[in-house]
Amino acid sequence: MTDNSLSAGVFVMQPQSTLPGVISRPLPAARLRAVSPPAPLALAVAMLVLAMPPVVRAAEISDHPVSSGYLKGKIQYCTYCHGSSGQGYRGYYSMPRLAGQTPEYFINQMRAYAERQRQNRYMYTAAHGLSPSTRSALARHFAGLHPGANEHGPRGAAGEGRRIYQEGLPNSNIPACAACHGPEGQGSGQNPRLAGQLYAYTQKTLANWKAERTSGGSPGPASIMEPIARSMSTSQQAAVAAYLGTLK
Amino acid sequence: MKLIRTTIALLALASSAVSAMAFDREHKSLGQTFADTNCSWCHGPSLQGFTTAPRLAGQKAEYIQSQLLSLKSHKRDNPLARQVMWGPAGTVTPEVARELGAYFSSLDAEAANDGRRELAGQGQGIYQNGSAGANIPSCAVCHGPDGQGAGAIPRIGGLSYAYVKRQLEQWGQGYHASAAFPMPAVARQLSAADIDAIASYLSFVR
Amino acid sequence: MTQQSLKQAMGSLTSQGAAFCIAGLSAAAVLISGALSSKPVSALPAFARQTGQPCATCHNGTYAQLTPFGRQFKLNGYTAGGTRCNDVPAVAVTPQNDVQVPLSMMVISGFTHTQKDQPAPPTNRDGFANGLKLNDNAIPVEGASIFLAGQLYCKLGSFAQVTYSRSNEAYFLDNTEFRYADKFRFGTNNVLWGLFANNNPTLDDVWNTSPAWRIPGGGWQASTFAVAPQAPLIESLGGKVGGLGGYVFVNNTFYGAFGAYKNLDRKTQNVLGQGDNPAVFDGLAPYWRLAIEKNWGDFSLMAGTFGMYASIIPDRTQTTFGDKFTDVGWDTQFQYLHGAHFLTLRASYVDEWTHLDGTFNLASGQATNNLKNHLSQLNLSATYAYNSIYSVTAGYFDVRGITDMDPNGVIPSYWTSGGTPNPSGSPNARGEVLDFGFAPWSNGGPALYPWFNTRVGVQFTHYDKTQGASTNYDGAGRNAKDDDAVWLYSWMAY
Repeated sequence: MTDNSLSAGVFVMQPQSTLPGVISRPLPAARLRAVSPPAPLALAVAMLVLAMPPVVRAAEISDHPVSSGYLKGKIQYCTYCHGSSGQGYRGYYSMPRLAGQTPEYFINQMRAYAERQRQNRYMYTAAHGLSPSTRSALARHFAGLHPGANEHGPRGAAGEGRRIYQEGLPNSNIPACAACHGPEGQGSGQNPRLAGQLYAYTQKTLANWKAERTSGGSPGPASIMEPIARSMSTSQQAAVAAYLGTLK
Repeated sequence: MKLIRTTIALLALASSAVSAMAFDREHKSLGQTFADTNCSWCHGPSLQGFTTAPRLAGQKAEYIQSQLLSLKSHKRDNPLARQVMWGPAGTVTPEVARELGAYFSSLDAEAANDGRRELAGQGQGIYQNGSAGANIPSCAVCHGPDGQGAGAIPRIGGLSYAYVKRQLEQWGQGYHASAAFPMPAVARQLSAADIDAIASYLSFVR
Repeated sequence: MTQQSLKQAMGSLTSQGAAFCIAGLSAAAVLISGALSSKPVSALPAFARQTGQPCATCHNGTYAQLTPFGRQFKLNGYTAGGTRCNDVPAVAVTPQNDVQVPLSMMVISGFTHTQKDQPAPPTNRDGFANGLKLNDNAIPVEGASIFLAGQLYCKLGSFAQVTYSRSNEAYFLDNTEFRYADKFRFGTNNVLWGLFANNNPTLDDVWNTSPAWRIPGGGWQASTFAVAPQAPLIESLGGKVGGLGGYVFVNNTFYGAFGAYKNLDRKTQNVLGQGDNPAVFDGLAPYWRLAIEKNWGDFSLMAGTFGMYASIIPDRTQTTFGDKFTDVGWDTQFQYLHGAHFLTLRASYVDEWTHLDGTFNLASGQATNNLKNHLSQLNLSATYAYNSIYSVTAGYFDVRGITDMDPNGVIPSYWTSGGTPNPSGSPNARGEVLDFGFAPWSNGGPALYPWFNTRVGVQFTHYDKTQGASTNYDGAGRNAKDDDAVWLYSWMAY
């Protein structure tokens, strides 16, 4: 089993709890910053670690078996929010479509949530207790689902969204999304599938990109998205989101 | 005989006079007029709920519509819905459902405050975070951090303890919701203690 | 006079039962119902048609008993669900499957067996033999009523009943009430209010503990041959008076009703089938009813008080003085409703103080030994219903009072159409009632005619004491338990 704790950087790892019914307390944000004066060696190591940009290794898809009963329970647990076929669901919050997602991206996000690099208290609760094997199994499960098209955003904006997606915004130094996410938004490897994603989710994610990530820096490839998201106007974000929602 | 005739005349006069006065004072919406005659006698004079009839005031408009139509189609089939609501909902049209949804959602809602206080904290924990170990999702993700609901997802903050408890239990017993997924399945994951705690907590949420 | 006339004499408004009858069913059904409907419906069927509710929602299997929803329906003026009002645009009010005709009908059939034969052939209220036997009477139509009930127009509703009584061989205007109700908001408080006009004190009430609707009592059916003990004035005026009143129900908790009653004049009484009573009220008789109700979880608890005061001149040609009646009652009702189970516990106690200035000073001679009398009446009962279909009710009554009589051996109570013969002059009486009922269509009527319901049952009544004694209470050797009765009944509603 690979140990990803080095990427934790300045964190203190949360003990993993799989006891049913135990609700883990979220780590108070203040603890991330309060560091008692370290010993000189510890300080040196810490500085070394800090100097390295935190990198999320490309996901290693584990083959370790997960008990089918346990997995079935976990899949159902995911679907309560993400839809019975992982198609996404718009509740008070928008839960993204998982169906057809690339396994690497899926696993990276699970780790990011669990390690609080990507901030979401609900996904933290859901993800931090899952072993890498389970995450892999879930990723494989959802990758294979292909439910129908999702809700769309405002249809009028989809045309402009398509243009931005395929051509980018040269004036703002924004490359074509298609270059990394694929001509049909199908994604590849660490670059997520965007096709058929919930409009509200895509729009919100673009709008809140920085806020969702910790101040320690965005993990890996996702750090590319930060200036892109920042440079897009709200209406451009909405247009792209609308377009992506129409893709199958 | 004379007394009776006089009395009936007086009452009839009084009724038309008062009705006339009412219209001078305000123009009631279709939803309000319909609800005053058909809903408030069970759901409470200001639709805050009464005994087994849940609060309708402040409920999401889309949810009201979907429930009325699912009661009409008999999709929602828990025992009280069957006994009490199938009859009246049988003649509801989509237009009336829309009007009622608009009216109910415009009203202020009062919290029932009738849960078990000692369980409210535990209920809040399950409501906000679910329980990953027991595969219970966070209720807040769909129903909102304050139980306010969204779109067709109902506002559940402040509903009466007995009502929420009964709904969750009945889904666990196999009765159907208007939407096949996810609530019946979620409810089946909950233990009796979980249900008690969640229902208690929600009854206090404003 | 026989036990028969004793019962009639008390002026009871309850219709009496008879043997089972099916023939009347289909004819009346077609007459009343209008179009057939697939609605699962059923109570006063007129109310069921209007609201779309089955009987069980408001009555839970025991006719005339009210659940919290039943109380709300009545407090809202009998108009809930009604479509007869101009302010509801036609397009919004979906056409009901029937025309919401506010008419209903009930037929009571019964068979009575008493422990001992009646001492004399039963008579009607005019004193003539009515063709019933000394015992084991199977009566196809022991009583039948037609109702005008429901929304009349907008917020005006009614519950009006005309009854035929087999034993009296007469028609009369039974419990009747017209009511106008509305509500308003006062700050954060909800105030439900109404005005009513009716012919029976406590008819406006919504709990089954005050005289008009008490179970057992006014809200009940009993055999023609049931022996009714002496009752306070507030329970004896039904149909002979007219009154106006108003009520408020604040936050579904505080109930207050006030009214005033006056006797109907002789001509009106005759027309309405109420006999011919020379007594008149001196002024108006005030009536009040206060109650607090608390609903929580599966429970509902009420505690209240009610009463009236009347000064009644027994015969204006003979005296200008009035007999003064002060009735004060205390009552409580507890209900538990959970799933298929419904339990109700009831208790009521009424004190009556009488100051008989009128009867004491009649020109034709003093017709009472005492200037002052006192009567107390205790009623306890419990009903359990399962699934609104099966029910059992147990009741206990205990009446005690000061012994008094006039020279003719009649307890002074001119509201009983001539008085009740009572050799001892004592009103004391005590007994128990046990009833088993089966109302299969409480949750929805038969497919062919969904508004129909029937209650089929057996009722046992045991008398410990009648007219002050357990044995030889009538001076001719009849014991209280000789009147013990078994009544098989069917109580059909259309």
